[in-house]
Amino acid sequence: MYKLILCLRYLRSRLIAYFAILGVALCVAMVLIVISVMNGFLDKIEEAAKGLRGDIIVYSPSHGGIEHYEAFIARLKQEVPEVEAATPYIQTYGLLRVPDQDYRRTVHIVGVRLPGSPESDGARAMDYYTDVSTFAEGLFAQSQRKQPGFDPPPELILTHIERDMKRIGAISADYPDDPTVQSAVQAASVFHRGARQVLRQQEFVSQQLAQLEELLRQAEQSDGTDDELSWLENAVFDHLKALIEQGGFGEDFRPFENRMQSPEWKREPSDLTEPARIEKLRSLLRDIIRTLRTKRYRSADRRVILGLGIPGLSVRAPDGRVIRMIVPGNTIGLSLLPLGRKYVSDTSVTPVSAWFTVVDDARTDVSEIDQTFVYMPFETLQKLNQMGAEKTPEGVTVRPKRCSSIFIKVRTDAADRAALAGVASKVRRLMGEFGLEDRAVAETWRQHHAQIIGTIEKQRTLAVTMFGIISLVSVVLIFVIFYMMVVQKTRDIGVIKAVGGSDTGVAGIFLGYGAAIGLIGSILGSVGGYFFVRYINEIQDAIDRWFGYRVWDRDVFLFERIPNEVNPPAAAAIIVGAIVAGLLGALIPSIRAARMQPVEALRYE
Amino acid sequence: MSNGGGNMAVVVRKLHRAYRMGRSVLRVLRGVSFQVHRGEFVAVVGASGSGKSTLLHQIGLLDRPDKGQIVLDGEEVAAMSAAKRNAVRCRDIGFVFQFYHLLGEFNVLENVMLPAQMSRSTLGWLMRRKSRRREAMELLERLGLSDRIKHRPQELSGGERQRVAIARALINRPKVVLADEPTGNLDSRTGEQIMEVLSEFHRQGQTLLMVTHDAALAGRAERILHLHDGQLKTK
Ligand SMILES: Nc1ncnc2c1ncn2[C@@H]1O[C@H](COP(=O)(O)OP(=O)(O)OP(=O)(O)O)[C@@H](O)[C@H]1O
Ligand SMILES: [Mg+2]
Repeated sequence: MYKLILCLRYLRSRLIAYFAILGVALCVAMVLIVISVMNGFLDKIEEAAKGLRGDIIVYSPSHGGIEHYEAFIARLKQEVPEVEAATPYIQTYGLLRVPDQDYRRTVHIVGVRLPGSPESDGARAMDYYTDVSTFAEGLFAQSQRKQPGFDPPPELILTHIERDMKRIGAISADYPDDPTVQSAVQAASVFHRGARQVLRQQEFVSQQLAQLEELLRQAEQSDGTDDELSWLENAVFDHLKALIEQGGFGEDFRPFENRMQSPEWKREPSDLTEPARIEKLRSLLRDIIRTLRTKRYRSADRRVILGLGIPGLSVRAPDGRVIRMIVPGNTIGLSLLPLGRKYVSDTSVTPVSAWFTVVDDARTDVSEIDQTFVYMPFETLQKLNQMGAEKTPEGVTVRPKRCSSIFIKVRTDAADRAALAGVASKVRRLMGEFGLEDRAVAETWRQHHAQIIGTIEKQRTLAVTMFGIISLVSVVLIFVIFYMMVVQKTRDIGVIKAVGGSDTGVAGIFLGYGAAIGLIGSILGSVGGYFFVRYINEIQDAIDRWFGYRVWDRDVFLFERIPNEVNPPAAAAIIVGAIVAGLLGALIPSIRAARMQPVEALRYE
Repeated sequence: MSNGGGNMAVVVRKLHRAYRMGRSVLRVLRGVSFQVHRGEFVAVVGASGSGKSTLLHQIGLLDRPDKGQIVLDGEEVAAMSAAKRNAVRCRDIGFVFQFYHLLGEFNVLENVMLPAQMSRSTLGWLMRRKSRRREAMELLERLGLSDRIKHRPQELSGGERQRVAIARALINRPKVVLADEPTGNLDSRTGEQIMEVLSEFHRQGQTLLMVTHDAALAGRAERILHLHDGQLKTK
């Protein structure tokens, strides 16, 4: 009892105790901050890796591609119950250009399957890239859509562009004197206006398409009575007029108009039977619809989603807000290297070039990806990258179609380290059955990103060791303070012993004192560290504002924001560590105090 | 083995204590023998450096003799375990030092209650705290300190401090009070007062063993022993 009271009294009355507490608190806060940020960094990498490529990645290191992927995926989903989703993926390299601009940039061009995309038959058994990844969440216009794809409704994009223009207006008002911001805003408004024009036309096209498709349905149900036929003919004729006059598609649709006004067309009713007449109108309608479909953006498969952050296509205001210059609705050019071709004897690689309409942009928050990725419909890239099926003139397949990688998402209950390794080996066994084992490699996300994960884990170890050594300073500090305390309190020790205090009792006072300093220091330190980590981004922003220096550079550290999660077990371990350090620092002085003969202590002046 | 009679508070036989300092050996106590009866007031007088404090420390279990025997209230000290020695120091002996030796972090009342607190387990202490506190208050009142109980020792005069130390020595009703120059650091009037207090407790039956170099003070004792050349002589 007296030990506790005396211990608290010592704590309260000694200024030096407050310094010791401060020292412990600083060390605890420091280690907590370092561990939290490093662990947060690793967690973010895990999240990003899984969010981008799923839990298991099958890929072909040679770029030659993986054959029979459709059958492989179907079998995989049948035979490996842990697999939740699997999707094929193609990756190649290319050059991005902007029409009428002297701009070029090397990019990664990737082919992904999205729910709302054109696709060939038989592919429906495979999952979409959005089933495996978190891609959909980062889309600009389609993040709320159930089925994001390469064919979003023009009116959806239009509303987003209108909103984006307002947002950019606000940024411009915040930085009236910033030349980078101002020139970006100017370019942005030009491209936004261009996109708006294209999209309005697209809105018109898709309305017309819908109505014409409805007419076709009616024509298909009709048995061709005179009344119905003339009503249908008039309706079609009106649509052609609208397409030519309102839509400005004269070149494409005047031939149809001419056909309907030609004497042969007019003469036909009397010559032909009713079924033949209606069939004629149906085929005309089908031709019109087919022509109109080619007017949707560029063409159905010439559409891309841009990574948000490709330098030159967007600019960041000083506060980090993004100014999009190229928006959905604009056109970009891509030249890509067809890596899927067999390169055996010839040395030349001829790039394939085409113009594409941007239909959306995507942000993954991994800056390296956002700065260099362009997403394209899987089937389109398969063709452009020459990964489609190769056939002889007689139609015999010499080489089946291929993909570069297969991303596999595993059910959450099988996603931990050991279980995932088990699933990966099942995937490998199946690859063997498909003869893929020497052409493709299956890796867990951890193996696939081993280099960066390893680097960061090493950095974490290094940092923790370094700060741990620095924390030893706090042990030494406590030790010194305690030694001084014991020396200062030698007479008290003598008195306590003279009135019956035991050796262990005296040691207990100083050990309790050490533990108390460790405890109070670590509580203060962890509370302080917690708030520092929690508001680390705000702190960095403040430092940036006052001193113009950013510690966390998004280009260096991959991510937009500094991780700000505190890991409770790590915090608990640090607190325990600090208390142990306090005890350790107090141990030797305590032993010295305990061993002291009462007379010696009393004689001490 | 005879432990020296049932009515002896302290029995010392042929006590030796030497200090080694490098090669030379300083033999301070060379076969000291004496007894203190229960309820007796004995004074040991000797010149400065004659070994009075050394003797008292041996009896008070603050140091161990090289040779010889100490029997406290019929119990042989050398045979005691460490825990027993602590308990004896706490309950059976009250020490009054020349330099008071109060704890600076505790106030007057807390200093007085320290031995009372130590004599019990935490639980036992919590149960008896009230009554022990009352006893301490009574003791302090008798010593004229009842209005200073919340003060720290640093805020008291030398005489007041020594009275606090006496209260601390008496709180556990020890079998013997050992006083080492209790007035050595005080002016003669204050010293007189302190001696008066000690005599008062002695009159109520407290066994008292005091060492001093002041023959006048020793005059208050029932029996005076002289320490000279490491040995005791009755004059
Ligand atoms: N720890 C020690 N180491 C060495 N010598 C010591 C030690 N303690 C005491 N002495 C010596 O023993 C002798 C007796 O000391 P002690 O303190 O018992 O004398 P004293 O009679 O109490 O003197 P005083 O009246 O001045 O208090 C002294 O010469 C002292 O120097
Ligand atoms: Mg002395």
